[in-house]
Amino acid sequence: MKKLFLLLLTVLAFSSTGFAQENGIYIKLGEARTKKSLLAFPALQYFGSPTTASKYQSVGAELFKTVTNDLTVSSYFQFINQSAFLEDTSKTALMPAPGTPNGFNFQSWSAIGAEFLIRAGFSIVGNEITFETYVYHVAKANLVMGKKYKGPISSARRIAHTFSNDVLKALTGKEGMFLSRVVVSSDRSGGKAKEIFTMDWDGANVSQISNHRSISISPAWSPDGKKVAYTSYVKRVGSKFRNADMLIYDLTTGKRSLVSYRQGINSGAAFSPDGNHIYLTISQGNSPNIYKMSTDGSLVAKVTNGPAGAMNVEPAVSADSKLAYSSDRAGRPMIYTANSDGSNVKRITFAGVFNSSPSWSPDGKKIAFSGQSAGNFDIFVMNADGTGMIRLTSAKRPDGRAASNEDPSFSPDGRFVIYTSNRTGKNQIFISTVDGSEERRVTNDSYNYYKPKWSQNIE
Amino acid sequence: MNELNQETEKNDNLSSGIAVSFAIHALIISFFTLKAVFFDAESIDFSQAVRVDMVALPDKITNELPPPPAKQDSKPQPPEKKPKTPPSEKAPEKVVKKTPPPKNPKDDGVNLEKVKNQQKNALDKLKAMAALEKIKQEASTPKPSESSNAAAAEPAKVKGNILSPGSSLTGLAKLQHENFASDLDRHIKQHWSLPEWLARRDFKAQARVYIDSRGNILGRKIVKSSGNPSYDDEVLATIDRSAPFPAPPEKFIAIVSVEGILIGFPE
Repeated sequence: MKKLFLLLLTVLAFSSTGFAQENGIYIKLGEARTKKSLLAFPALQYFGSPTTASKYQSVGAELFKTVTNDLTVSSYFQFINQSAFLEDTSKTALMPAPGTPNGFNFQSWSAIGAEFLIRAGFSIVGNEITFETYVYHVAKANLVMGKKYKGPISSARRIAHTFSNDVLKALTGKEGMFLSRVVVSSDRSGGKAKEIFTMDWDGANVSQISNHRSISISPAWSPDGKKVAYTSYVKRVGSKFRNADMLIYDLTTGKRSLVSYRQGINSGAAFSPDGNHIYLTISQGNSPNIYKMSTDGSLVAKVTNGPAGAMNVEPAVSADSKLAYSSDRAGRPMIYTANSDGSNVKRITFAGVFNSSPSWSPDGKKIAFSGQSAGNFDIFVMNADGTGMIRLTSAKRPDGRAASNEDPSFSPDGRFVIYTSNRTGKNQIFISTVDGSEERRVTNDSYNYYKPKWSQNIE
Repeated sequence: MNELNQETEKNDNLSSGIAVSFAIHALIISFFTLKAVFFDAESIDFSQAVRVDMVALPDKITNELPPPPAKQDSKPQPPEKKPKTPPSEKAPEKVVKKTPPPKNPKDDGVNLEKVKNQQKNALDKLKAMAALEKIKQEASTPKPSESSNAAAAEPAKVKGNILSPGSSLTGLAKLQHENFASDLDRHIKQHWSLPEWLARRDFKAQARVYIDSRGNILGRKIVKSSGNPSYDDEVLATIDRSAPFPAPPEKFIAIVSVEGILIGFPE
């Protein structure tokens, strides 16, 4: 009885809301299928006099090639072949008719199915190049972005990268990663030595920054991209033997200084997000553990401690100061996360035989690492708690065996991962989208590269 | 003497034992009673149990003419407690009054297959009875409109098998509704695509499309914008690409042309 009474009350209370309900039809579509946008990018127009055209053709070609490569790698666009163009773009202006005399016609671009159109041209005065660009949305016949870039001719690639970043920013609200650089250890200086090099993300503009004629490895960027910390087997003045010491090289001043030269290993540098501290692996005669050190070399804290003689190496720091590292405390090297003071240790990988080299995504939500299960290493990406693991690589070497892919590093926009792969016989740098859908080769030579690290966009 | 003492002792033990036993039993009973009264708000899942329409064989309705208002209010309880069903109309209410007793045996240990078969049979019967029932309704006296139920404005027509705005759906209509909805879903999904640069950015938009009896678009509009005009354009383009839509069943033609179909991109 009481039950009925109570139910009666609730019914009366809810009867009004009940009538407000519809039985209309409500469809929830869920995730859409995605497709790349068709992009028409006609050849750049040259605004100088025809006599100088051939002289500057290479500059124009460099601009064009760099932008095309950037936008192709971005995985947003599919370029329409120039032979499909209906308009002779050397004869039409960069802006549309009817507003501009001799302007181009949107129809000739919508007819070939282009979603976006980039009209651009350049001119050179003295040593300065001006790059004029217009990005149009063809169907809506409106201007998405119109910008002019100026700079010395030598910075043509940087101008192109800046433009690509701006295109992505205009469309998606997030800047691209095209102005970023990579620091890597390589044997390209010749002989048995491994030195530290920096290069653009696409492998151009290689610059050697160490010359110890020794083995230099594990470089790392400071968050502002102005300093590189790395480890080198150097023989200090007055010492008999070489030791794996850590040095910091300032790219702006050229100054180089020893920052950690404790006995044993001082390696695997990872800067804290504010750039004032470095997390590194120090062995000091014992088993390697991770320490926190200020940039003047003084130790601040011991972050890991064994247990029982276990090795804790390869620290990686997220933007919100969480740590990831590789530890063999459970028998085999696995990936662990912890707070920056070493507390709250969590093991996040359980499969495989050897998991190492963790790298945080910029938003701290994903970790890429190199994992071995069947005799070779592959790159994997997982959520920061270890769930949702996907494999990025599975290439074969020329001899048919599986290639080893190691040392992943996330891009500053979180959409790509670079790593080294020996599938060509040498350790070359490759780049993959974070979901593993597109993989490309970055370096294209026969040198070996080790432990690349990706910087922020360097303006 | 000892025996006497033992006797009285035993009696005392017995009475105190009985008292204690009573007390504990009373405690348990009152605990469960209170639990049942105040906490038994868990809705019983009627979805797999017998639907109203299963026992709502039309010819029984005519017998239910003058139920007192109080009882009528209590009738919507079972259908309202069903997770999806909107409140019933007047006529199904009357039917429902009969259902609690027959429902109970079916609630326990419902055999899914059995229920499905029964449903199918009942539906077939319903379909056959639908016409019969229409005739009967027209012949019978108009239902008393003193019910608090506002949807009973057209008692002669509305019986749960025909739609009217703001009313419930039961039985045949409900199944047709669901079939049509899933047809629509499948159809529009084929045309729902986004360029990469708009995808994976957590945009949410809703649009309404109005279609005629053949599925042609009468009109469409964004009712909840995603905040990004390009995304909204893609939403409208998807709707345009989806024309013509699957033809709506007869009973829904009014709804889809007046109220329209609400589509969530993605929800």
